[in-house]
Amino acid sequence: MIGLLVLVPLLGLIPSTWTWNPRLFETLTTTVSMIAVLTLLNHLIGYVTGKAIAFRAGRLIRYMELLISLPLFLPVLLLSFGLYLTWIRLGLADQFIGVLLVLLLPTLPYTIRMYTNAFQALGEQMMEQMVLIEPSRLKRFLFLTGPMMRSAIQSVTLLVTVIALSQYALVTLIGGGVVQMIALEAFPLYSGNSLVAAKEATIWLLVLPFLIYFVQLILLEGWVQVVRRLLDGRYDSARQ
Amino acid sequence: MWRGNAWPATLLITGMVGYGLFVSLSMTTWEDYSRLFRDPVFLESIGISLYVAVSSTVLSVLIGAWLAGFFAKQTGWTAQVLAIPLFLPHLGAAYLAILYLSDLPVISPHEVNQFSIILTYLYKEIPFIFFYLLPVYRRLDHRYEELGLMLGLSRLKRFWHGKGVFLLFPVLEAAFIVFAFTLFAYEVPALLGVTYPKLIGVYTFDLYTQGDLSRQPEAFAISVLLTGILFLLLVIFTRTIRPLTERISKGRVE
Amino acid sequence: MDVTIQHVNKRFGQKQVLQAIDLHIPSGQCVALVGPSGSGKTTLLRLIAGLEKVSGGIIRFGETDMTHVAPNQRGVTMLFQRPLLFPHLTVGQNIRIGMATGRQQDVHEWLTKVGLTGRVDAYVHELSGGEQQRASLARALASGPNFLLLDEPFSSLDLPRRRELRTLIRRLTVAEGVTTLLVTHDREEAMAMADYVYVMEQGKIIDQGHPIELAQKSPFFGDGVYLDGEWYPLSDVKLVLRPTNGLQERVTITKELTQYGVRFYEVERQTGERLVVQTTETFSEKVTAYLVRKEG
Repeated sequence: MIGLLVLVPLLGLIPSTWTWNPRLFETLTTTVSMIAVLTLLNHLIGYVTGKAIAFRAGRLIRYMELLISLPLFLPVLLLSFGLYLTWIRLGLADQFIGVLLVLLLPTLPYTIRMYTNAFQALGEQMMEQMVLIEPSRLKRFLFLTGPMMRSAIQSVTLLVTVIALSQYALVTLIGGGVVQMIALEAFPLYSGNSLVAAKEATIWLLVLPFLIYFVQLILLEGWVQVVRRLLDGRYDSARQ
Repeated sequence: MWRGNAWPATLLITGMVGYGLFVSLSMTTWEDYSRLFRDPVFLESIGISLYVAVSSTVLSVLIGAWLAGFFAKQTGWTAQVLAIPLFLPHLGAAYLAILYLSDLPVISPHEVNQFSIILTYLYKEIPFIFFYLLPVYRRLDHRYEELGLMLGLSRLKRFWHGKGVFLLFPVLEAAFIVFAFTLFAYEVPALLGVTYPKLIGVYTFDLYTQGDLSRQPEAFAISVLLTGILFLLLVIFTRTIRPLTERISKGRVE
Repeated sequence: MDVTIQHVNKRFGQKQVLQAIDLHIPSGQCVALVGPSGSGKTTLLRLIAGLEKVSGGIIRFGETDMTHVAPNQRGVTMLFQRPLLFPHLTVGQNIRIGMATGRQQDVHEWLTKVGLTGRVDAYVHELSGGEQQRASLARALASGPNFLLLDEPFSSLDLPRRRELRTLIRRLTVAEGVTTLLVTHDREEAMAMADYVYVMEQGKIIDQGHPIELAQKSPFFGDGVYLDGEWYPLSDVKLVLRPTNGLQERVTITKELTQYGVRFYEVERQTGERLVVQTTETFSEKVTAYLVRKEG
């Protein structure tokens, strides 16, 4: 029942005629590269921060946790008014990097939360155990921590993608129309009269997260397979 | 150093939030704030935004929490269907509302009752609440309730001591997040809302970006005011509930 | 109040967890149910508490058929493996929560009984594991149960705390006249606390008897048994054997021998039976005796 309620609305998106809007397509380069860099930054910062929040004790880290979650509770769009003026002064306005930084505000707090939860679920003892087993930090991540945090990695990428795709106002303001992401093309289509063009835009909005999700799924699966093969090989050669 | 480092994120986020607020503050005078409180358009916008945000939040928390409680006992993949709306950006969800609700009475977009906005939020936020609370429900220890039963507690007390106290903080926190989002969001109300009164996110953004620059200070003033109020709410919320959550997280049995 | 279990069965789906269980707990006594993990003993406990429904058979408290009565109507409480104190309440509030109105000033009395005097306003996380379990015991007994179920309540404690709690539970249940059923996989614990022991394996009762009897005939108990209790050396030749199950017995040391650096005593019970025991804590007045074997 609930499944139907969730799914049926999406059926209306199946197009009767295939259309191709070149203007939408042109924004994809910026959109995808923005999402790629943003996701990467989210993973990097989220990983180290989530670990700290999960495994450090004391008053300081609790305050930091609160500060980090501020954008979840505050009006980010309204705060970006002030940031925009600053970005102009710093030469970041209308720039890719300026938009990138601002997009960290609505995404990073979620990312950090998800990594914190994942590390808490893993537990301190497991972390200590892994440190003892594999002292090299890179190897530890590649062989142990990374594969164990697969589901957190996946959720983070999904959430960052979906939030970033939805930002019309923020990107318009900070990007000044120069940084063209897909929302900037889709939004006017929705208020316009062409339902077909609007539908095409929506399909892109839905297909991109799915696509990114499944590409990542394959990559992660490949990663785990490689790790398994390497470990099996090591085990075999040690036995001989 | 395997314990991670929270400094970069803290500095980055606090820096941007703090500086954004500081610049807004420096662009305004007392006069701007006092004018805000006399501006009927602003006040009406706040009223209608609160109506949308409170109804969306209450409904999605109630439904999402109920679903999480229901599915926490089930295994299997059925619950995963609820993940599908998570793949659709809010912008796309607003389009679904245009697509389906346009020809309907009462709930169609651009109606003063804002039902289409609320429905769009429900489509997106119920799954959010659901996945936020599902692990919380799964971690609940049913033995606390069994104990309550054997100690002869009433049904209400059993629920409160066995489940309620463990759910209280996560539920309120998720509600706060949804509330802040639905209160200030731009995209969904800009597409589905009426031209007057506008929801506060739309109203403020339009003040800032459109028309003459003379109204920009007003936009900055709204930014400072609302950020301040929400920050205050957040501080009160954390202050009141922190002792309880600390006791629970330290004293509960894992 | 006697508790009688007749021919109780329990299935989870296709899996038969308990088969035709017959068990009797005489009023005011402590009966132990021993067996390896997975033998179904915790399930039986939950059936008695009413937390699970039986698939067949009868559970009777006194003369009353309790088989289908709700848990809160049975007058039963349970101590779980973990203390499960409500973390948002103080110790005092935890104890008060199950008490009948009007008796609530007894909280301090209960705290004293379990050795937590003055900790009424402490929160759960401020107590040690042993203290938490003692507060949990006070909460269980303060609710005035007829029947106390113990689901391995010692397993999260270290040895000295365990012994302390055992003695405490025995003393308080005897004083309050509460009938007790202990579930444990630890033979030593069963022997130390119980008046009568049932041995379970794969959902069936495979043996039963008084602790010492059982120690001699049941292969499950091997060749040694702990008699945990207080031994008071009265003189060079006499000991009072007072295991926690309330028996008090004066025995005579007939021989003292040392083997591998460990001291053993051969003692003679008043029945004429001779036992070889080992004391493990000779420094204190409280001595744990290890029954090595029965002689003659």
